[in-house]
Amino acid sequence: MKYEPGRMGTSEGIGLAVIMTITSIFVSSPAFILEKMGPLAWVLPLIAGTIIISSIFLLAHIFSRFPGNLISITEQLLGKAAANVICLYYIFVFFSLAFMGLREFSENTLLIALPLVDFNTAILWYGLGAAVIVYAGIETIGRVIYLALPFIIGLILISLIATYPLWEVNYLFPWQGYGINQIAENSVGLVGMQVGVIILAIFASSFQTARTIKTAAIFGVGGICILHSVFFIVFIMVFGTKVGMERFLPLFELARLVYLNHYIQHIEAIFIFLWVIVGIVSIAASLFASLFLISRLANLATIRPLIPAITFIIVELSCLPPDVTTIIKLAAKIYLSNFFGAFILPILLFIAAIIKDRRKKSCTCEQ
Amino acid sequence: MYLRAITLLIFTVFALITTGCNGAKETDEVAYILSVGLDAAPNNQFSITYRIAVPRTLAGIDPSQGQNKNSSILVNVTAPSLTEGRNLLKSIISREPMISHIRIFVISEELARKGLGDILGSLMRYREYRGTIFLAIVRGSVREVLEKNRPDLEVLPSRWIESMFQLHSESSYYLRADVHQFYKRLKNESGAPYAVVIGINPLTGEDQGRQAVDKDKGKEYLASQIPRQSANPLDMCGTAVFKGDKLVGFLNNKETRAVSILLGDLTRGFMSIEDPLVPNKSVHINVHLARKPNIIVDISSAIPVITISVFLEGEFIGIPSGTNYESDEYMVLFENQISNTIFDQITSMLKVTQDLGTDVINFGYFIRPQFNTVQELEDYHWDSKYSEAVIKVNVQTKLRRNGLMRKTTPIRKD
Repeated sequence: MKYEPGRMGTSEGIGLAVIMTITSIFVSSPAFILEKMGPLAWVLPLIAGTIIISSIFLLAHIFSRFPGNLISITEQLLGKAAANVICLYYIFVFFSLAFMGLREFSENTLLIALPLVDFNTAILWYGLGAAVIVYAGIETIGRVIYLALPFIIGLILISLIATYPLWEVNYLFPWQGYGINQIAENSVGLVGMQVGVIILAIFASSFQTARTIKTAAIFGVGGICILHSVFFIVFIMVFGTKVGMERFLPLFELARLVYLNHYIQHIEAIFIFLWVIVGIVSIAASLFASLFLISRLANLATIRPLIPAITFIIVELSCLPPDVTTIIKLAAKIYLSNFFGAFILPILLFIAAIIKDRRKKSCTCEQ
Repeated sequence: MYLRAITLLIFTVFALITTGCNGAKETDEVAYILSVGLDAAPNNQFSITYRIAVPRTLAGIDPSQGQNKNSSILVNVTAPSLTEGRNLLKSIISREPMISHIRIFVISEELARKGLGDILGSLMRYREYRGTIFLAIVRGSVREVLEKNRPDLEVLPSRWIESMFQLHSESSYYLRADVHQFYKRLKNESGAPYAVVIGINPLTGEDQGRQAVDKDKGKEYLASQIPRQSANPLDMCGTAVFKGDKLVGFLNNKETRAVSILLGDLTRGFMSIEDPLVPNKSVHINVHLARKPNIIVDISSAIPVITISVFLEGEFIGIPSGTNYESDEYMVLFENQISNTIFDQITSMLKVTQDLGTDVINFGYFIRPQFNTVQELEDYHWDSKYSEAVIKVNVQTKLRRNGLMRKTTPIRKD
């Protein structure tokens, strides 16, 4: 099929893993996590990262036994009907990631960078930008992000380090925050937010080996989760819990506070540059995954004719929520439900693979 | 072939129209507001004074020749809020008011005593305001302060403000106070917000200062009290202290320097200390913190006990009496003199803040690691305990350098 990507290596894998997880730093989710976790919020990305990496490792283990991608191994393990249901589920997951990302990034662009632009124009440009990138293919998306990675990470780190004069370490205490019991519930939400990493399993057949996927997960997801955790530490030290939970765009607010001297201030323009790159490419990656799954489900020969139509549907869908509060509430609910796709489903597939493996072995022995 | 051409065209169009110029404004379309002053006006309104830059007058100005009289203009409106004030401002000036370059908010004492909660709300939410805007309280009329601010060394009043705040640690007679720290202390679990005090000096040369505590030869001043007869009539001196969002009192220059010491900000401080052996003379020194003060807050008993250890280092600037304080036998004597003076200034400042019930040092910050959860910390209610806290202060000083003189030889007597 034409839409099957070519061979992808560790670099593309890391690029894809990064772009599907890094958006959680750019949007308002850190403020919501801070509200629930308090000073302990920095632990959450590490826990969520461990869960999501474990999930990818389970899937990689299956791929080493049963070659293929997430949908084809589901077909092998659970049958065609189950594979179609799983395919439909992940179409919903990536569709929702694309339309929620589109709305959030468009709204936030209006809020911080281009307040005079009409909302419809902003959302159309984001949609159009993502659609053009989708034409280039998933390998290109992975490579572009891998190449841009030093700049993205570097600029985020510069924004964080430049707030050094405002760091107050004791704001990281009381160390249990609002209670350790909050970790479980909020980890579910953050893992669900990073469900996009499953893209590695969806395109598993294009990666060189299962080991490539594991390496991409460790360096891509692991690296971003550490960055996310460091971001939380700096954010808490600069704002404290009470003020931090009020902020709508935490990373942007941090960048706005940079004031080293008369000449080094107002550096948030760097942040806007990052914002648009990460936003458009992450929407494109989710859009590509949705299109790939739709084409596979419908047995289409190519995805390209679908790109304008699906992009248009996603743009229309993202315009439906009446305000930004509604989209955030909706996103929170969807992220919670995404835990199923990010962790539960890989476990179920792993169990099914073990059972199938044992049956195979017992059949071989009987012969 | 056609697809490639179309893609190329799309990318070219993208490159041309997504360069971030949408909504861009030329500098001659924008009025850059440099400072905003708020006075109380009748019927719960604000008298808002804007200082707006006139960029074209800056071209070719030699900064050493002082401020150009037309480098900025003042506009005053009366409005019920800052947002309505901005609307009214647009009816007066031809350009779009640009708020994002404001350097300072100056608020009158009368308004500050009523509370700044309502004003800060809009500052923290709207994207054009930022936390790095400096914050000052004026004893008297804000409009008058903005009108009379004529910096001699800077072209723009905004540069004067920026330089003043950036170099606050040169004397530590005022602190760096911005909207971010004010709001952070207002909302988080502990710490009293503070702002800088600005006043108009009458330029009469009259000394309204109070003799400083203990052996400090310098006097205690607040803004507008510094005895002088010339230069820019604005004084920036002292600290306005808040309880919640309401102004409750002022700390003078010496108390402010004591705050600076306990905040760990004192990078340099010149002092004139009474000569222990010749009391009618002073010894001039330059001191700084050798390390951040060690603050331990013990909350194991009903009344918290705060133990503070301050370690200062310094050098001699001048010994007019000619006493050989560089020698070991006199050095300790003079170091104790400095330590006692700083001790008295710190305890005097802490007494004022305890009487006001405002934890300006933010001792509550140091108790955070002693709690497991935020709920436990909130239930402790640090603010209500601060006034009763027992505070133990220990100040040590070590003079490590003698300046450019190895020893002092006495002046020859006939």
